[in-house]
Amino acid sequence: MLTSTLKRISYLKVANPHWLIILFAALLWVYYLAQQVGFSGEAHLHHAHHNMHHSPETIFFRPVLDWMIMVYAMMLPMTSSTIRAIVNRIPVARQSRSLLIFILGYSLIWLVFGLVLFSASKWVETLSSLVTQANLSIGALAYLAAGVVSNADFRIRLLSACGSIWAPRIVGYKADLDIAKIGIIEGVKCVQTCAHIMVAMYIAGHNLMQMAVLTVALFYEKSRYRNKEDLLRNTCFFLAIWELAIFYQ
Amino acid sequence: MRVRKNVNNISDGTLLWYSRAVEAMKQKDIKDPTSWWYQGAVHGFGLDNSPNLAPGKTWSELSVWQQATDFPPPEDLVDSIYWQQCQHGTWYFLPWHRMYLQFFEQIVAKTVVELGGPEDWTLPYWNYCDANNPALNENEQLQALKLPAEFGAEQPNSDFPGLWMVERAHYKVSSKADASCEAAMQLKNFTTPIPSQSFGGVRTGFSHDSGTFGKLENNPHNLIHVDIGGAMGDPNTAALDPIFWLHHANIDRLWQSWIDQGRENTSDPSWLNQAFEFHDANGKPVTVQVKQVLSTETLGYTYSENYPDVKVRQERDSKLFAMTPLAGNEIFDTIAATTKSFSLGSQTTPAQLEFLPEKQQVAKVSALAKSSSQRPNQVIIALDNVTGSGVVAPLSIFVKTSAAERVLVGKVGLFGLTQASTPSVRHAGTGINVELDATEAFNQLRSQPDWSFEKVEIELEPSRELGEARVTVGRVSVKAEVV
Repeated sequence: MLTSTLKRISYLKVANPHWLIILFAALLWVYYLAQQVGFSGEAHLHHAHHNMHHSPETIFFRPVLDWMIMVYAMMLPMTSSTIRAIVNRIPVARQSRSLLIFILGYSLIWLVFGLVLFSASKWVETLSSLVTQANLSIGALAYLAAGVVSNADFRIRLLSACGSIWAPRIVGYKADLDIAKIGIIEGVKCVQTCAHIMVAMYIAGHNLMQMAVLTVALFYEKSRYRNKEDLLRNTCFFLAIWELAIFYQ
Repeated sequence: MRVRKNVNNISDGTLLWYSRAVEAMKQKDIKDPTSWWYQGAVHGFGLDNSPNLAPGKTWSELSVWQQATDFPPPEDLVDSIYWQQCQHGTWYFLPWHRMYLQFFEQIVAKTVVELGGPEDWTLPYWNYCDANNPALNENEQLQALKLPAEFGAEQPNSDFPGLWMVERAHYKVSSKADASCEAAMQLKNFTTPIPSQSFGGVRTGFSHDSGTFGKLENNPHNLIHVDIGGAMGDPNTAALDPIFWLHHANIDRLWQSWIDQGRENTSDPSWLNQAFEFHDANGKPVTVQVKQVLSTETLGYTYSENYPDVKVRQERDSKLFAMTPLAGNEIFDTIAATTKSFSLGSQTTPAQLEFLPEKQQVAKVSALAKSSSQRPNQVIIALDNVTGSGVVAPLSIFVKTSAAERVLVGKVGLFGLTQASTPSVRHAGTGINVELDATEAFNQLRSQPDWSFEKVEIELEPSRELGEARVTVGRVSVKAEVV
């Protein structure tokens, strides 16, 4: 019985080498839920473009940390097939090291993108004020734009590319370089595929519910995607209506 | 209950009515879901004008499709959810093609009735597996490799003009090894993380273009496609060859036969609930889920018993049972790999391996040779990121050491090479991945007195000249089971 259970667990680990990543992302969602319960009076989790009202030490580090936590919670599960592809192509002795290098390469791209986004926060705030003065919801406009981009050919092309890697070398530092390259390429693909969603959430000052809805939509799109699937686009449009309803409440 | 029969065992009017129906369907507009052209495009559609469907011929995807009635089709139809839907390099390979055959058969049967034929027309299957049937003599085995005479040869059979296709490169499978159905039938699991151990393919999302092939999909499916070559060798034109449908009826039969051995499909909900779109015999759109096509009897048909079905299999010699995959823990260690990509020529191409230092090897292939009583670990040869263009004849993979003659590991069919190498909305362009079980080949090498894993060499050799086709292999690697 014990042997059989251990064998089953061993098989599940082999079949799902990304289990640690999924676990990590799940823990981050637990953290978010705990945060939501603890600060139930607050409407927003990150509201990054309002961070300039905070103390100087939180202006940079806190938003960056929040940004990366959000990226890991939402985006790391999307790398499952890439991790499976890497593990199937490298020596067992290099697997842990390679996964770490992959995550570092992947994170680097999202970090750079986040910094670019923060550098535009002043502009976003100005734009938000102008749009609000015109009696429009900036969040609704952002989701509307994200919905339009969702079915663009370039996105679908990149979506097809998720999990497809060029097999790395297996010996020495060149193997590490190849894995880092895979991480960076996957990060770039992921940013190109999902940046419009992240930007829309950033502008809208997303809450946990919106984040969860979009994560489910993205995950569904990636794992069950068939051509002409409009789920993500429709989700964005739904969130645009949601933002409008809140705005005119 | 309709019975799909071996085409070599029928003498009624099945092929005559099939020929007539094909001709009638070819007359219909490409936009008509019941036309020959529309049905072909459901599998694949492309207008590449490179003359690379067969060496020495000017055939291209474009030249094949230009023959369609009312060509060209409207763009929105080309990009619709009904065209270019075939599933390759995926665990949806078998169920999608079963659905495809079912609706095609209904359309042909309806056309046959409209032409004044019988009401019970049923698609036959082409059992090339008989080429390895030990119950047959050599002549009978070789006969199984040939297309039925009704499909013509260099010229059409005048009584069956609808079954001929000018863009068919070969009328006979070149080798028994390309029609080897036994190895896949011995596998225990429908899907596993290891492609060469997966009967039905590996877990993927929607996968129109080729990626990582499961065992049955590579051999015999892919090998038959590229061995016949011409239009059959390219997924974008394959279904326009009338033999395509008999080939896939055989693949569908093998799936049912595998289940009849007591095997089980995966119970994964994401596989069972996946839905695909088709048109029925009346041209009406229909959506079908995988879980609806798990049994042929539920769909109203069955197959005549034939090799290598269970009952036949029990009577054959014990040789094949020695090939039964070993029950391992399915953890494989990559212990050698090439360090850069290389192009294939029409002759033999060696793959230069770099070996993982022994102290880093979790799976020690060389050490196991010291004990003949110990169960040898499984060894896999993997080809990753195979890119290129055109139809490439079956590719043989050999292993050897400097002191020993080379041993054939197996053959690879690069069906869908062009599509898998082209970044598009349907594929990353990272090429084809395929794995071969090299356990037996390595066992032969191990029996050599001066065996050493670090002396192993791998060679790749296409069975025919490449012609206009181009192939680049991204990486060749050796994986060994951790025991």
